[in-house]
Amino acid sequence: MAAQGKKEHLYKILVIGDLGTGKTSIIKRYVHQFFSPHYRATIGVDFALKVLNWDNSTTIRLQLWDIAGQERFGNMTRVYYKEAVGAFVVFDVTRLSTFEAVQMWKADLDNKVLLPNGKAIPAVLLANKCDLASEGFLGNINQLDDYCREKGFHAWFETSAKENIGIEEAARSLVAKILENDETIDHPQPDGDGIRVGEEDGRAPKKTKCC
Amino acid sequence: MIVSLLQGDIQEEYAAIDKDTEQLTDRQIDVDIPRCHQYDTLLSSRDGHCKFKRILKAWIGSHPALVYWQGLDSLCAPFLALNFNDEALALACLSTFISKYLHNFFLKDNSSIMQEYLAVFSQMIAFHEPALFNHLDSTAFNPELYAIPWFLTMFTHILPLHKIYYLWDTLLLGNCSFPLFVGVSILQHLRDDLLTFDFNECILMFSDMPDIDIQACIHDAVRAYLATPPSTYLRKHDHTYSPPTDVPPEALREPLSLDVLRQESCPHISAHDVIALCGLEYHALGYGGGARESGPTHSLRSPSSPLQRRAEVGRRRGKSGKGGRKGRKGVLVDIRSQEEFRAGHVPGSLSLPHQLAFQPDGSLTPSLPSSSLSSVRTSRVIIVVANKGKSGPEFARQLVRLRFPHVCVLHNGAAVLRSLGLLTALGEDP
Repeated sequence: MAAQGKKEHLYKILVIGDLGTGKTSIIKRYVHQFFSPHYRATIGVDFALKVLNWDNSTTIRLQLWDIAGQERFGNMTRVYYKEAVGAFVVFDVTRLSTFEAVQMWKADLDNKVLLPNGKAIPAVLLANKCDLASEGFLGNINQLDDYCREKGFHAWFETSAKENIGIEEAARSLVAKILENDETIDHPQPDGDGIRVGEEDGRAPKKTKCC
Repeated sequence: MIVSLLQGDIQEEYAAIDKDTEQLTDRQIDVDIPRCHQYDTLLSSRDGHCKFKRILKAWIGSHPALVYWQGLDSLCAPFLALNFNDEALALACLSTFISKYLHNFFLKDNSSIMQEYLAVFSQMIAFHEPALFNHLDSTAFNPELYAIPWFLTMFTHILPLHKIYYLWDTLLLGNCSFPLFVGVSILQHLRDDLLTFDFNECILMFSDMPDIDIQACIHDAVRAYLATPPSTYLRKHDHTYSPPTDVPPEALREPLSLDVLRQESCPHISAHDVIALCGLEYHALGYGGGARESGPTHSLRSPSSPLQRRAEVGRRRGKSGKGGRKGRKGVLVDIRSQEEFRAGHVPGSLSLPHQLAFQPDGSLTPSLPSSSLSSVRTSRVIIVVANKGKSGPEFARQLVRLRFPHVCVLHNGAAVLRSLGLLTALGEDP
């Protein structure tokens, strides 16, 4: 173990948005550097894990929770939101209805999970399938900036899982925000009461481990 | 000839259903079909996509109380692939299958049905795989995180078509609870890995379902199913359940509420099943039934189901071996105080008063009854007999922590045995 205190973080991140917007594709691209047009639908939830060497002294593990897009699953997926510290909300730039649903997803997110300090968890908006973007839909970019401010998004990015555009940047932006929150929010010491054996390796996603 | 008559009706019905009018769910169907079992040449063909959509729309149209859940597409896939040139037959199969195995799973609000199924599944994991149950429980890796697609699609979302056919050939012989044991069996086949995995590794494993030996898996599922007293997996939402007749009503049990199901790790068992397992007889009350030779009978649920019959044939062909004797399949563990035990107990039951049974480290306090219990730990169903309250479920949970398999709690406890006239005072043992 390094004496200079190498830090390890485990963060739980939700990926939400309407069905067929490419949530699974974004995750597969980000984690496996791979794209296929035919991922099976997500029923309930799927997972992926991404390890980031953030800087010389920090390793970050992102636990990505890929939540079913069909809104019917909303009731069932409530338990999946617990202890998340960040979220991507995804829409498909070729389908206006998926953008209209973004507000609903954001409101649902804020309703289901909050940071320990009672604030909304940071959310980044992903305008996916930008390689297929039809003209005029997104209007001008300033509008989306305003939209994000108004709806409480930390940032937004144009992404394409197919062409590998914007995903790394979006993730860096979200993680930076999570780290910033992590430093300002008090949370219980890992060795405090109520931490059970077995949480050590993955249960308590907010914990900071110093070795 | 009957088939051809049926065929005629099916065709007419299918023709009469509106499959063309645009509906809200069309968009979902359009997104789902091109990513459903697309390695199959028929299902990935243009024609296949059109047929697929028509059948799904026809199912929705003909079931106004139910809705399209993602996963219905996977469920439909094998029927379409097998009846590619007969859409009406594919729909008839799909409808019949869903009404038998997935009754009300496709309601708009299916949460009570799904959650009950998962909670019973969790108890079946504890019943058959205590060590794995303990591990998954301590890592908070719950069935809600991985088993929804298993049951909502009857495994069609996680298995390729050729394995689905193999699995369903057996599944179709069983009742609507049999899939629980397929789930248990899948976990058993992944047990060695799962036991060493932390939460992250567990979730990753199920996100990308590993290749499983489906034949071995089915074999073990049937074995687990037959080794499980039917009353232990009783569900409120099992529409096929009809209680056995000619049995005193108190010998049966009613389903537990969802809250209780979730609180208690171990299933409840009815006195009726206990009587069969332990070779007891309905003494009083003039009920003739008594125990049957083969232990708790799955005929409780579906009178001599094909799966049962097939297993019976297998059993008869197999070694006659031990265990043939009546009443050698269950052991009663009476956890009430010694005074209560003396005043009335079932002859042959083990007295392990709860307050004295466990040492501070959780292990069993050495005693004659506790070593008797340990000696039958893998060969008997362990039935905890307690007074009403939390004692029984807690005792059972502790046995599961100690990795005892086949642990269950007698529903309504000692009071039921008393009212059935099965308790004998010490010294009066026959």
